[in-house]
Amino acid sequence: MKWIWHMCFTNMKQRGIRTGLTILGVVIGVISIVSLLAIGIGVKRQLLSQVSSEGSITEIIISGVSEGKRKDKMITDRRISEIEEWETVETVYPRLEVFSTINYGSFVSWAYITGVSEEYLEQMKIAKGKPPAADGYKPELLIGNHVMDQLFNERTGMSYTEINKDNKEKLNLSGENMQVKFGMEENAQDYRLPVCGMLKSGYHDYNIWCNMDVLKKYLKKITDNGKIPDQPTDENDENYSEWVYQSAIVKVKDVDSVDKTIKKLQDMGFQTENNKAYVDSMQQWTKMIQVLLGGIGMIALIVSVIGIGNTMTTSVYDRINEIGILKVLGCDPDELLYLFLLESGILGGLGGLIGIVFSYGITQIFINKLAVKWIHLPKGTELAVIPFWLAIAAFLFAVLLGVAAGFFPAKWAAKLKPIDAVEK
Amino acid sequence: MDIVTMENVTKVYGENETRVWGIHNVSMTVQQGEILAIVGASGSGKSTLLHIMGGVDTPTSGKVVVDGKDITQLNDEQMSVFRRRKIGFVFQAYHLIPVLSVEENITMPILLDHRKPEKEYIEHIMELLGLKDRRKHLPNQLSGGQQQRAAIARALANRPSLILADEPTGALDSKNGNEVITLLQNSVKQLNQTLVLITHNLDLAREADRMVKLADGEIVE
Repeated sequence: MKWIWHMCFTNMKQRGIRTGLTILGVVIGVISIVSLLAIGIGVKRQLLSQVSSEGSITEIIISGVSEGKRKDKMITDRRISEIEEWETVETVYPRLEVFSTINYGSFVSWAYITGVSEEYLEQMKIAKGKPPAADGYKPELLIGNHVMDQLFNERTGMSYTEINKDNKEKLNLSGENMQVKFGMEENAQDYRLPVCGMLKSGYHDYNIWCNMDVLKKYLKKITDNGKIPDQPTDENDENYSEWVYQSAIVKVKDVDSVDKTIKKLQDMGFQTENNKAYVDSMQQWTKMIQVLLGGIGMIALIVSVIGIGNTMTTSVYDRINEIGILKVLGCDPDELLYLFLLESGILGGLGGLIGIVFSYGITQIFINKLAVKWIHLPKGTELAVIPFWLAIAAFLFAVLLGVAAGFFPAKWAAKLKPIDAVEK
Repeated sequence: MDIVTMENVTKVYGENETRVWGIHNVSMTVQQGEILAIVGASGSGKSTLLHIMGGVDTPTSGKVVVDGKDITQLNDEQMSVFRRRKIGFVFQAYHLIPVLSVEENITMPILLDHRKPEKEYIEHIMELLGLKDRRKHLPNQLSGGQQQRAAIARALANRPSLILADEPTGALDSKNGNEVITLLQNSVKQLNQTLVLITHNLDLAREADRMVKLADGEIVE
């Protein structure tokens, strides 16, 4: 078999220009298909990473009825432990939301003060300060970093952020106190609550958070008429014996059971909110983009395959005499077939290899550096990604197409009658 | 001992009106170790006869036994094996493989048979044919005579049962031609081979052990 390799390489070397041009054709084909697919993959990753930073797709937010008499449609501790027992559900975080009026100096805002479990608070990303304490008398407030955009000066109407935009220190309220009025009542009493920390920019931006247990105890303590703000009342106009939550986050064990769980929650009468449908449709879009880009790249690759086929056909024509000699000397038809397939496979493989190396270079320089700069994306954004599998697949594909392109010429060469070939 | 036996071998080219007889009803034998010359005018069927004997062409009818084997019964694959083990060809146009060196050309039949060339024997043949200092050259770097000597060396490399030479001097001037033919004959004798040789040159033919004359596809002498 050694002679076949030897002959294959000497042949390609002797017909250097043609070999080079054929390989160049494959290189261009591979570059176009790999780069276009890389863009498809990169764009998809960018889109998905943006989505997942805005709340995981395995989290379903449910909201229930929070006024009136339909207690069966309300989120209570009993319903929550019921949901928590489902096989698909990992855990449920109830959220106790209380509509409040916030005062800070001469600034005022409306906001929901939301009590959540200690475990949930621990997962939040804090920029300054510390998480709210799990015990103590007063609930400590953790403030989303856009809350201050909505704190307006009563006289001028300017927001706190606008006024203090040059004084970064002032934007950190940890350690300060806020005046909080619970409920809708205009003349309700103000309570001074401490701010323990500020959240990093992200999903929880417009909320004020605190520990739910502390909030519950505090609300009970400060209500003198027995009616807790934002808690529904029964036919006797009294609070229910259980806490009623406005919403809860249902964390599902895996992505595949999200749809099923949503269905069950809706059947229970809750409204649901989840990113999955959005992600699904986005994935469909990115798939379409990939197919489109891959298709365009494919055209280039097919052209280069035709190039290999052409090279191999002329190679067989050119070498008919040589083929005849080999046949007269007693070369097995199979080995002759192998010789030509090897040659076309090497043309494809070499083209593939060089093409992949160039693709890495081109996508890095032209797409991830220049294009990213040009369309003003953050530096370091990977708009084109060539995963390892793509490189391997492109190489194998190039070899395979090379072999396929060489197949008919090779078959023809192997079938030639020795004496016809020698006499040509 | 008969190395080749041909019985009523006929080769017809084309069909119906375009039918042409290559050879017609030829029966003959070749003895082990002899040099047989085939002579005849152009188109008399000499080459066809030689090709059929060497298994590169198949007869329309008749039986061809070479070294005890009826080669008309072999399929393509078996025919390839037969050719590389039993036959050494020498053509008028040398037919060396252009991309391979002289030495690589000479060892090719052995490599095609998936064997390792016997170094000493190859050296011996190259010595015999005066190719030792040309071994690394490509065919197009050699003169016609040298190329034909390389082709003869290739035909001998596999120690075939039968060497078939189709006008080996046809493309050479008389000086080179004589030199080549002398080398061929010497090598064949020395290595105890059998040679069937087509030639136009009657002087050359007379030097052979035996001579067969063809005319219009039939043996006349």
